Amino acid sequence: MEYGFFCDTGVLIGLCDIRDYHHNTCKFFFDKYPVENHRYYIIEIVEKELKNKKRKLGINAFNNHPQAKILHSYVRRAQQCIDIQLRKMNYFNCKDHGKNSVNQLKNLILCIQPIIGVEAINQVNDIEIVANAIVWSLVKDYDFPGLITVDNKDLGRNASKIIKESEKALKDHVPLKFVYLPDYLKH
Amino acid sequence: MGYVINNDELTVYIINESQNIFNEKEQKYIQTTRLNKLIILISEELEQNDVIIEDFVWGYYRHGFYSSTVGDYLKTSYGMDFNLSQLPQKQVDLPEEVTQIINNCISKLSQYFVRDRKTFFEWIYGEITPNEYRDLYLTNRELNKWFEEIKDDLMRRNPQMDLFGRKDRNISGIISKYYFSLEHVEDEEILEIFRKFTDLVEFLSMKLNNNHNISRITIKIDSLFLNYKDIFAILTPYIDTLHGDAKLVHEEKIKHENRVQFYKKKLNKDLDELYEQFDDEGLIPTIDELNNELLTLQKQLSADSPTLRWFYGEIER
Repeated sequence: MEYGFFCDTGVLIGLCDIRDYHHNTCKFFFDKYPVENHRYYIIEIVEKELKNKKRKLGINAFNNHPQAKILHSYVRRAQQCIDIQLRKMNYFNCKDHGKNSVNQLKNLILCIQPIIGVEAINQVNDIEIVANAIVWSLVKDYDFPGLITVDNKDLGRNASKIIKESEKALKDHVPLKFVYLPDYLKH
Repeated sequence: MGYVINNDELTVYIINESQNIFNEKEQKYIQTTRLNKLIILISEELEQNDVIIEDFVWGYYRHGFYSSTVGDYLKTSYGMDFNLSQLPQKQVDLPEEVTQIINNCISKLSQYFVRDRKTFFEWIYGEITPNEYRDLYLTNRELNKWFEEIKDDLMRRNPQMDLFGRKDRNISGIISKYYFSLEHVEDEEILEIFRKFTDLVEFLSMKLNNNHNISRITIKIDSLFLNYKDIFAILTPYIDTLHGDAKLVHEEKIKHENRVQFYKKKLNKDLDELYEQFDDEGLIPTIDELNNELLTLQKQLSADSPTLRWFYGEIER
């Protein structure tokens, strides 16, 4: 059985920060399916979002912390881990897969917007990630195409609704599976 | 007072008078860098007394405050390698009020200029340099010292272990301190170059702690050290601290901006190539190595310290 995984931003943070609430679930998953042996995909937005946050996180954010310098070392190390993982992943771009995929993406974005909402920038990014993941699951032929996430509020709890509405919009079966990592660990 | 003198007259007069004030043994301490700094400190005193110095400019560069006009004059007249005792006296006439200020200044400052290198630079960076740039210069010295010590450790093939069983001589602490000394750097590209550089240094230190091939680490430490000299040049607050003849300040700004552009391009290329080499030679840390590092740091942090997710969430607010 061939697995392919599409990653959202939160998973990478959870994997690389050992003090993160989701670290154990992310670590469990990546230990089971190491990046070195499996196909992981991201879209450019994920990389941009993470790089942008890294750039914006200036030393002022640490100034009021009594252990500012150790904390800075810690954060730097977690960011290095994210950068290294990103380099091991594959980039998915709809445009590389023809006009039909680009049109599907546009349709999907419109259909997912009302489900997730567009109040915050991370929701806008989540919509892009999910829509791309759906197109990816259609153009790649994985036995198990999974979107891995730790975001329950916008993605996990809306999974079945997103798939249902997407199938309606595309008039096609959507093979994408949502893998909400905390549930995955429980099972 | 309203006198106008120029860069060369000032330099020549200070050389002449310093040769009278410092004894022969003391003059050996006054080499090109110290002479340059002595002239700048005196120029500040002259400026406070309304003496205008033409064709003179200085700013904070690689070794702290430095005057390129004095540097150029000294280089053209006497070469690179000299001390005060080797310089010939030249004829120069300055108004008596001006020479009085200069003489008093040299006498007042002389004690600081005959100290050993370490004490001299501690005084320069710790007391004379403005507060906002002190940590930059002090941490730069610390990092240079780290490179020397680690290269020595690697050459002897006997890195010293600390209490945590690490051999990297606390490079993370030095690098953290370094980041906190860069508040004056606003150019994002320069900060990104610094990040690339410190990431590679920390990758090597992790590999060293994990007993990776010492020869490979040594070669890469040398490459990084070579790049560091240029990185420090672009981190200095030279443009913001330029002082002196307005026309020269303007010209010097343009010259430095061009220099920075050149270094940025070169460093981006060099550091990207180095990253590829690290990757090919197994010098990029594994996720387990990174997790171990994080565990060591976590033990030193209080339990309520913020997580990366918290920091990133704050940015969005």
